[in-house]
This record gives sequence, structure tokens and C-alpha cells, in this order.
Amino acid sequence: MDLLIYLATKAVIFIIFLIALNSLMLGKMNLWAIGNIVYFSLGSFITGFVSNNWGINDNRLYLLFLIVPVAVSIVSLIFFYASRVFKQDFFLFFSLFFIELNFVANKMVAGSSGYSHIIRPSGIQSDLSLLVFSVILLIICIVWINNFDKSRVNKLHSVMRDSEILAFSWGININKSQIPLFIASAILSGLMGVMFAFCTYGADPKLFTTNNMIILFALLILGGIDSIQGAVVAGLIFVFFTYSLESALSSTFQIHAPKITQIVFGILLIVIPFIMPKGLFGKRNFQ
Amino acid sequence: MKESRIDISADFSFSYGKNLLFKIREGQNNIVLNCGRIYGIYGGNGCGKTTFLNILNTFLKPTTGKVTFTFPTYNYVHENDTITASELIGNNIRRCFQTPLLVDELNIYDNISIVKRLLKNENFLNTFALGMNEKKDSEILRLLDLAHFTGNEDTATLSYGQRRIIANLQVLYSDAQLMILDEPFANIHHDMIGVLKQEYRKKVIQNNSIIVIVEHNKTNLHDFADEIITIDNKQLSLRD
Repeated sequence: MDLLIYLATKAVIFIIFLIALNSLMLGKMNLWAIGNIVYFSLGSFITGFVSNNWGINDNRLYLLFLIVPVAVSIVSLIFFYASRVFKQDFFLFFSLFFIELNFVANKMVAGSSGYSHIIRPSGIQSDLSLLVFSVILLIICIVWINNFDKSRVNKLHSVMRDSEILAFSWGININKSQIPLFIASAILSGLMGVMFAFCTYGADPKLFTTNNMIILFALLILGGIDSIQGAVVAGLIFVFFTYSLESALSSTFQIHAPKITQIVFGILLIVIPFIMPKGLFGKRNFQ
Repeated sequence: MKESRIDISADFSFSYGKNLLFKIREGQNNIVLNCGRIYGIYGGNGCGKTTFLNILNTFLKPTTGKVTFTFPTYNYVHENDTITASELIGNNIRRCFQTPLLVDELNIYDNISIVKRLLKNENFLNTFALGMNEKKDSEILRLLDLAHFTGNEDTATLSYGQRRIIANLQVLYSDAQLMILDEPFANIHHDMIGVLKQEYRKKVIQNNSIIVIVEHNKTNLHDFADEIITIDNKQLSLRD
């Protein structure tokens, strides 16, 4: 039962992270924001740093839900302006560089094994309470995204995504319109990093790499672009299917099991766009 | 209230690199586009008609001279050394492009309604407010009815001619002070062309706005325009 609660909490955290990625970055702005893992990692490592070095605990740990958004907003602004300069493919290269930089920085600050023994704040110290808290966050997130989809702001983003010339000819300032969405996505990712650190009691640099991000993107493509259902399916598969697959393979392939899992997801990334261009619940084709 | 007016200076010209595309005809004073008037642009292929529209749309800057926009809510001098002003465009300028640009993800109604900027409703924080559904605009429904649409049609499945009609309806709904039309009637049935021309004429008078139109069909142009700007032999000139 404990394992199920732990996996369910992890799944909810990844679902929110994937909503931030799928419904905001990819869905609204058409940005393959592989760098979102940096915000997630930043959230985890700030939690680890604060918990391990400053020794604060109990209610004061809730301050992380303020500190992390501020830190992540600053980093995401740098990323945003990079996305204006380095469009599409170059943005991807820039993101990869940023992930590597983040990996090195994390190892330098926290050591190669990262942080462990992270304390949870009072109120969400038990696994069940953390799961309930995560589910509440997920519900808030889904209500907001649904509301966003009905709003005029969403229609403007459709114009920007479809044709920058058209958007410009209507006097839409693309940069100004996209910044809040970009930062919102980053903040959600950062907060999920905090939740992940609370959930696993640690922050390991090896978890926040390009490989894991590629797996998540493969699953998002399977779930479908710009859909909450797609993010839910992707999050559930990422946690439960990966766990089951690695458990099943570990007896035969031992330490190679995670690598084989990655290969399975890599094949998925290549095959899905051909057989299901919209994924399971996608609003539009994978481009 | 100030009346809309566009003033193109006598030294106005546009070049691609060292190649002059057009300049104001020698001896011609500055060209003034006044409100309540329709201006047609006439010239051969490649003479720079669309480029001229791009300058009026502030997508391009003049090489020499300046274009001064005077709108009831905004003044702007568009010179070679000034930046492109998206604030100027705001709700003041709308364009029907040569190739109709519509957002396929939105239905026809939304494609038209989104053309009018409502800054209050476009605030990001509004996305957190529940129940922000906008009421249907009767003017959009009237325009759609002219072309026998309901508004719920899927934009992606429209024919080229239908897309053109929707692009025209966008401009008609916009309340823009300057309406730029780049071959707006191509591929549209002549009955519908008549309806659209009437609507444009009504709009120009009602809003005291300006229309600048590029049209290859001479009959369409002369029927519709009050004055013609010709681009001939790299020279731009205005005649009644």
C-alpha cells in the first residue's frame, strides 16, 4: 500500500509537470521546451539546499513555495529571451546546453549523489497527506487550464502559433503575450520539483537529465499535444509503466534494465508520430 | 474628434538595397489619404503594390521620406529610422492579405471575433477568473449571415474562396481606421463581391476610415475606388 501511495504521488507530481509542459509550453506556444526539466531540478535542489544547509523545518519549509517561483521566474526569463533569439532547432540546442549546465552546477553544489534526508513541512509529512496535497494542486491546475482554454488569451495564442505575421498585423505583441505563460509554466515545473523532493526525500542530479526529458516527450506525443488527458496518460505511464518494466527486466538484465526502458521509450518517440499523428487525445498533429 | 489622415511625403521612396522600387513622381506633392475615401492601387506585376501596402502596414520602412499616420487615438511618423509600431496597429489598421490568413484551430466566428482587440479581456490574469465566456456579437452574426455562414463551421475545411470571404469579414468587423485590402475579391463569386463592396462603402462612411485596395481587375477597382494611385515606371502618383 505504501508503495502504491508513493507511486501515485510521484505520478500526480509528474502529471502536473507534464501539464505545464504540454498544455502551456508545447500546446500554446509550440515550444519544445526540453529545458523545463531545469526548473523542475531547480525546485528540487533549492529544497535540498534549504533543508540540508539552513536546517529550517516545519512550517517555514512552506516558504519554498515562494522562494522557488521567484528563482525559477528569473531563470525562465533568461530562457525566454533565448527562445526569441534561438528559434526552433537552435532553441533546442540552447536548452540541451542549459540542461548540461544545470547538471554540472547541481553536482558542484550538492555532490554527485545530490541531496538526501530532505525534511517535509508539517501538514504533509505522511505519504498520504502529501498525495492529497498533490491531488488538490492537480485539480486547481486542471480547472485553470480548462478556464484558460476557453479564454480570449488562448485564442490570441492560437493566432500567434498559427501565423506570426497575422498576429503582428493585428498589433499583437508576441513577446509581451508569451512571457506570462512561459513563466507560469516554469513556476509550475519548479513547484513540482519541490514536491518531488518532498516525495522522494532527495534530489539526485542524475534524475534531471536529457534522457528523462526525452522519455517524457515520447510519452507526451503518445498522450497528445495540448491535452490534459494526454498529460495524465503520460504521467501515469512514466511512473507506473517504467516501474513495472524496470522491475520485470531487472531480474534478467540487472543494471541494464533502465537503459532498456529508455530504448523502449525512444522507439515509441520515433514510431508514434507515424501511426498516431495526434497521439491519444491530442488537439493537433505532431509537427 | 481628430479625423484620420495618412500623409506620404514628397521625398518618399522605397528601395531593395540599391534597386529603387518606387518613388513619388517628380513634380507631385505629398500624397494625402483622407478619411471617408477609398484609394485603389494600380500597377503591373512586380511594380511594388504589395510592398507599398507593407509600408502602410508598418511591416517595412520607407527608404527615404516618411509616412505620417494621424488617427483619432494615435499619431505616428513612420520613417526610415523609426521602429515598427505594433501599438499603432492596435485597432487602427487591419489587412486582408493576398493569401487569406486564418487560424484553422478556431471556428469561423472566433476567427472574426478575435480580430478586434479587447485589451481588458486579453489580460493573462483573466485566465484565472471563472465564467469569462464572451457573449455572441450581433454584428458578427449579421456579417456571417451575409455570406450564409453560421459561425460554427470548421475553418480548416473552407474552400479558398470562402477563406477569402472570411478574411474580408474580419476587416469589416474590425473598426479599423485604415483598411488595407490586397486583392480581396479574388476567387469570390460576383454576387458576393457586390455585397462586400457595399459593406466596405458603408463602413468607410460610418467610421470615417480609409481603404487602400490593390486589385488587378480594372472594373472592380474603378467601380470601388474614389481615387487611384498608380505605380508606373517606378513612379508613384495619385489621380482621381
